[in-house]
Amino acid sequence: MVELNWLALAIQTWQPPWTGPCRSVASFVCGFDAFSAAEIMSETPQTVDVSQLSSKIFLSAQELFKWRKRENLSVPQRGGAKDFEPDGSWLQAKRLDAFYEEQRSVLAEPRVEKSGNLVKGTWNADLKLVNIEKTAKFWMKMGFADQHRNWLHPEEALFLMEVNCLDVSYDGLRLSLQEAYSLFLAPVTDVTVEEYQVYGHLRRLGYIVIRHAGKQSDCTTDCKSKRTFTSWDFDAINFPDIAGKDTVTVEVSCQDLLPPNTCLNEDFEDVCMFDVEDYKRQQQQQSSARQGKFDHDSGFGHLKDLQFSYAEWVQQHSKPVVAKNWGEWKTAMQERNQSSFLQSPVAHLWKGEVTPLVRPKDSVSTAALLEKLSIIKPFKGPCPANSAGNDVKIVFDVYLPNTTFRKTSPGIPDHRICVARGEEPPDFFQAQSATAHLEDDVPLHWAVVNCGEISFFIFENSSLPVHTSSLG
Amino acid sequence: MASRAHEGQENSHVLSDLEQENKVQIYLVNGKATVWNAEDVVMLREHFRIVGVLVGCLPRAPRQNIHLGLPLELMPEETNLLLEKGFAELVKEKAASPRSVAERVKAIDAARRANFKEQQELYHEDRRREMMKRLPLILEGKKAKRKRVLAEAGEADMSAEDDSVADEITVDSLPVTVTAEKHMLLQLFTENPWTRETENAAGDWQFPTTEAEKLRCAVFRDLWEKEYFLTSGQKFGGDFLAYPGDPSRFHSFYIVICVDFNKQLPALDIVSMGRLGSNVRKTVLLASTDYDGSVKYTSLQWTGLS
Repeated sequence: MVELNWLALAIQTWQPPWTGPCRSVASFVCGFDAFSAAEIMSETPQTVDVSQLSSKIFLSAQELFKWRKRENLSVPQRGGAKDFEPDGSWLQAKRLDAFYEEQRSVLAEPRVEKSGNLVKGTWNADLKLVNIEKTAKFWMKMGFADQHRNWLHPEEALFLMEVNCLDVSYDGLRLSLQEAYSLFLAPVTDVTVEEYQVYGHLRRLGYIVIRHAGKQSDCTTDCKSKRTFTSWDFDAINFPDIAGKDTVTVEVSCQDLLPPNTCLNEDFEDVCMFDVEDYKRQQQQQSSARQGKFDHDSGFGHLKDLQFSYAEWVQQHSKPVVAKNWGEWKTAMQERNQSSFLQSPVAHLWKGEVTPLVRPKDSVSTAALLEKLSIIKPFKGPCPANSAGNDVKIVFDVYLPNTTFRKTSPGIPDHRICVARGEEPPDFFQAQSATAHLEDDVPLHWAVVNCGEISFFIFENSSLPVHTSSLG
Repeated sequence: MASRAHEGQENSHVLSDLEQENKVQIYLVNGKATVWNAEDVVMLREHFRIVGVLVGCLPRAPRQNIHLGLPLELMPEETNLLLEKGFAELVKEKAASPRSVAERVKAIDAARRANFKEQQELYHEDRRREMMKRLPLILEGKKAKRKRVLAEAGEADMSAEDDSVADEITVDSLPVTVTAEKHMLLQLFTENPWTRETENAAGDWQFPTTEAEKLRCAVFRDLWEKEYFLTSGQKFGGDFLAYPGDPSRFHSFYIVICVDFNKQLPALDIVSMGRLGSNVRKTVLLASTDYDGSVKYTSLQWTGLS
């Protein structure tokens, strides 16, 4: 069969309703653009030139009918057992041929859908959005409403077209996927091809993906705390006075307001004893633990003798400082510290070439000493603001698939995505400060797209083990 | 076999007259070179060893990432090679004039209405065939219903009814509901179904411009002429992956990394490349262009003395 481009046509000639019944004449004619095949068949002056519609692509009713129920839903396998190298064998050639045949048929399958399952939409070229009249199941997770009309973003509309849910027209003419690609993506809109590919990839996996919406408040806790805060009536709460008493008897109105070191009196349910002595002791323990001192009662008594406070030693071995104001006092203290250092019991260690790393006055606590030894210092916030021109554009907020997702108040996303090209990875500050302004722990994934291949990277902070100050 | 015949042709890099007229059309859409036709996609792979990446949803199973569908996106190096060798042409579609659009609206409307009518007939036929198959069951059902009705009405004589029921019902007498419009099958077009008003887009194709891009093109061309299949090497930390045969049937032999001939490579980089290759059992090829433009390769092999 000669491989000419068949510009074939299904033609129908119409008669206006008032002159009689319509007669449909279907025929296939081979021709070129100049030929209007309707001219051959016309019986009335009103003809329609369908020569522009390619029959290879536009299926006849019989062909469409075959596709009404897809029987084979299997996805062609990727990988599987592979050979090492081409050996010219018949078996290899056969397998290759089978592969090519399969590709040809699977890729050429048409997109056929019942018109009742499709939602109709129109492309608005000024707003660069798709307007839909009726909404369907996808409306829970996509799109937005504005001025009593329902809209879809271009990337959402394109994806719905690809999964055979949406039918978009522009100027009255239904769009093919190819036309939609050129209309809905850059440079016409601000959705780049790479961003759309990442969007499609995540949606196919089942995630809920929306455009990045800035800082989100976690609605659930926010609302709860607001509610509980305003529901407190402080005038009605009787705060007991514990000064100068050993124990205090408290009437309990509601148990969850009790402080942690109280226990209910077994005999009375609404009365409890608050042990003031115990409370004071616990306060002392906490404050001394913060200063790194040890309390006899906590079992570290034998370590108390090992404590050396440089400040105390200096005070014991020098004249008290006299000053008229704070400024004088500070300078006098500094001078005294400097001078007494030279007379301290360990001053001789600093005489040689190799000196100790730690000075006596540094020995405030174990944590302070370890701080001096650490070579890799943990980076503590806040991050410097983004240097000009290096703004990282966070593109999408991603939510795990769940039924409680609400479009109007989505809450804090589970992941965020920014799309990068494959050339240069971001530098340290870019990676750190990209989400600093959002102040939450949502991980930021960097999607690197290179010719249709997507890889995801993430920069995670890890903390080095650090000595904690309380040893209790 | 067709592919063998073509091998001879592509080695001499000359197309037959027929192929000259019907070169593969590569559409420049959103700045990317794409192919929208399944035949073309397979032909590029089978005859021209150009693989590309499928980036759309597959019509039969749209919500999975294992096997995607049309369009096929080509690497800039692949497009460059196809254009240089004259195997394909780069086109872009002209926007249709309003008059053209109006005509198309009318045309597709007419075509669709005819299509719907045919579909209705087909549905009708299908329904009738089903009813023919199930005729005994239908008759049973009708008999049972009659009996029930008569029993309620209190009529005693039932035997006489059976025959009359059988006589009354034939396939044609059973009513067939007209299929509603919502059941009409619509085709959503992937490729543009209209005759193309395309123009040559080679002028818009700026690749390659930088030295790095020129190097990549040269390396790609050289390896392609040595009968390898090449794909993007991003997943393995290289520029390309070189396969001895079709990627679907063979594993790649080489990870190709393009480096400038004069560039100094830190030793640590060489070690990491060597490690990479040995971990995935591929050979790392460092490719550069020499002063005369020819491509030279250096392979890394992780070895030791024992």
